[in-house]
Amino acid sequence: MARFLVRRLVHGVPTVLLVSFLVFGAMHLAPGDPAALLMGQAAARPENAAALERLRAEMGLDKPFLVQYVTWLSGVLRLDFGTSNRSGLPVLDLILGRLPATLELVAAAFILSLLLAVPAGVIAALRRGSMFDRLLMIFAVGGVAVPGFWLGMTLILLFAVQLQWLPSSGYVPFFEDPVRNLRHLILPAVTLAVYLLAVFSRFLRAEMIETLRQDYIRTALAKGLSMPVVAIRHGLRNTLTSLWTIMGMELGSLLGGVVIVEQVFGWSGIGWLAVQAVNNQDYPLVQAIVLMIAVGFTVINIVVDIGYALLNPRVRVDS
Amino acid sequence: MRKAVLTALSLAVLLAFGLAGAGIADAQTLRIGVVGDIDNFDPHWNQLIAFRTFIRNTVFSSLVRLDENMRVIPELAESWEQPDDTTYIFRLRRGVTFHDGRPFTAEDVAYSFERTIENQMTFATKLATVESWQVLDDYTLQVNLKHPWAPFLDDLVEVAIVPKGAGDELRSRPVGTGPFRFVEWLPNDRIVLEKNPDYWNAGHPKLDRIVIRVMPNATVALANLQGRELDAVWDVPVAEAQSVARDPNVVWQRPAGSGSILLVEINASEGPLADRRVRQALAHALNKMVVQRTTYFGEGEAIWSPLPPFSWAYEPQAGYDFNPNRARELLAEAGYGSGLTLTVDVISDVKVMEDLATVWQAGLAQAGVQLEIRRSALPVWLDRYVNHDYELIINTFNVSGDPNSMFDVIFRPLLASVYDNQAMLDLILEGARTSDEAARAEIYKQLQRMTVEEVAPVLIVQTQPVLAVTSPAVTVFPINGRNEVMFERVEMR
Repeated sequence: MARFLVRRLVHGVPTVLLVSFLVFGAMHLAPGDPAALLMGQAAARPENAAALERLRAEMGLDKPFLVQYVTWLSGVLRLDFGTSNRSGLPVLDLILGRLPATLELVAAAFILSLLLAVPAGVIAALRRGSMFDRLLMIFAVGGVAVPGFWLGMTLILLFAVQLQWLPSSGYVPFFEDPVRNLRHLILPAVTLAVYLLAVFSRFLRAEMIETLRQDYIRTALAKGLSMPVVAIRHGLRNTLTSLWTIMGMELGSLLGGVVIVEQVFGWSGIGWLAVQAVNNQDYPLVQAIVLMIAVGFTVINIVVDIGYALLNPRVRVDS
Repeated sequence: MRKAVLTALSLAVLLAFGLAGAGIADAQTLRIGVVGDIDNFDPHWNQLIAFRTFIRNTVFSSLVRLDENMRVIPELAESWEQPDDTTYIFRLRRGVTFHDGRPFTAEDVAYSFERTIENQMTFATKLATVESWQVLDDYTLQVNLKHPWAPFLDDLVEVAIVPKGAGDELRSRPVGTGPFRFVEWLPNDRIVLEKNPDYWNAGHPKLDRIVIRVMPNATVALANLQGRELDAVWDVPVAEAQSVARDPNVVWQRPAGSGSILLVEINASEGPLADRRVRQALAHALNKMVVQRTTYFGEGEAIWSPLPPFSWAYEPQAGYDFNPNRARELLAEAGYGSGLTLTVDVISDVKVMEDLATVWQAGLAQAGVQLEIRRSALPVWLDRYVNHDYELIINTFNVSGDPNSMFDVIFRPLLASVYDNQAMLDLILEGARTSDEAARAEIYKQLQRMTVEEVAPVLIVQTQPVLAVTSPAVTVFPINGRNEVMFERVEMR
């Protein structure tokens, strides 16, 4: 197990390095000058030319691309991610300050969607062709198709502006005020969860239908067990491995959704921070965020692989 | 009966407590939304308008400031005298302290001048005419100019006073002498300011706290206002404000006159645009009435002068009527009778720029000119702007109280690079070096006429409406012509 972990982590290193290099390159190839962006229109004044040069030098932009990359990378190896171009604050502080908000949002959306998707998928599989099944399938198609931005704005207009039941936006740290934190969490979490719920429930339904056709299900039924018991004890257990895979994949692709939902709801997490950093050409911040995401992906993949072994004894991590 | 009385009584008590509670808890805190984060609090660095209104003018003060009518009034300098054209003696306000408790003296002013100049940043140009300064005593400062410079006080408005010795920590923890002190900043989320209890202007500020909430865009910000999560939204485009115009819980707030100007900067250094007749044809092909109607819902004022109507030097100009046939004639005279292709640069997500370009494109098509609209993200647009890599570029500018601001910031860089006109350059310098206001007004009138006649280096389109929206609970919300809210005087019910 330990050997497996070490090997997977080591394999992840080149991936992360490649991603960091590509992002670094892409940021520097993009047109525009972060120093001029900081200075604004004043950069057009001839008397500010020297100041502009000095600002570029301060940002390290006057050095060749590879030198900049190596300098940055060596900092990262010492866990020094540098400071933001704009605020001068340590990049690590900015990211760690925003991370809890994003993790909370993603966790809430995942838990909410699983709590609903598992029973919905199982019932739909057991009652194929029923009204419930059809409604669920309509929802599943709609939930994947509807854009997060639109759904979020609609929920805001309905629950915050019209009914005034819930706050329209903002983030309150949990330890500052748990009740307000949860009230603010509901709408963005639901917006994200709708997509996940659609994906998970449709997937579970299909997997369950397939599983219920297996011989061991017939055997269990022949023993005299009732269908619901068989479906949960034997059917569901055997679909978990595939569900686990889908969850891992969705967790990765959720990032795009998080960026949009965080913006719509003013949920000040990593996604929104990333968008602003890109708009401001805040290179150190963008690079650190992307690096963190790449590492996150790698770790999720490893966790998913370990999870297989726990869920399915036939899989051995050492093999 | 008794039950009814009891119910009524308890309701009355509940209401009274509820209202009193609301009064104490909410009325003193203004929650205001701003689109985009403010991420650098150093007043000698950050020149963004959002920073200026929310931090620069709340946490910091200058020797002098602008009032609602864009006139210079005393701030940290109580009074000043001018023994001659190049000498200013400022008498400073006594008993003023910085938010960290240190007393404010002339040494802080000297240090702030020094730091502004040494940083070589944006605001250094505001002190370019200063030759030297002497601290005469703790509350008296003498400033010597290199030559007479009429806009000097207007320039001083931009130089924030920071405590002596302050350095880079100002970037994230600003300390000044202003009506509000900085409490906390959650990047990309909120900035909290609270009342400075030691503020020199007795009875001000009226608010106890300001919570500045960062919003992703105006639509979301307005939804927050309607959802009562915000009390005000600053800098709302008219098109967005229109969508909530019928909501009785939304109030439009605006200055007496707007100094925000939508304009086109013209690269007249070579090619067809070097010919005045071509530039005049471009003016004849611009239907300003349509721009005003479609872009600003009839708001703002279509003008040709580079100064806003509230300026003491403003002179209305007749300009050019919308007349594609005349444009065609002028182009033919210039040798472009067979057609011409030009490119205009706009920032991709600034709708007013795109709207203007589209209306102009249609007018120009009637005159035989094909206008290509090049949309770029802000960094790319700025890159072209800074390097003068454009034919026509749409821009906006906030004119300050002194007319020189427009000519110094927008005209001078253009005259040094893409438009050669020594007479204009001389007039700009003369205007700034003449002390008498009536004489200055004459010079600026000449400059306005010249700009319109030459259609260079800029083509002025119109003043943009400056707009904030608030809830009806906000009773006083003064804004000046360059979109700065006077937070010190904001009041809530």
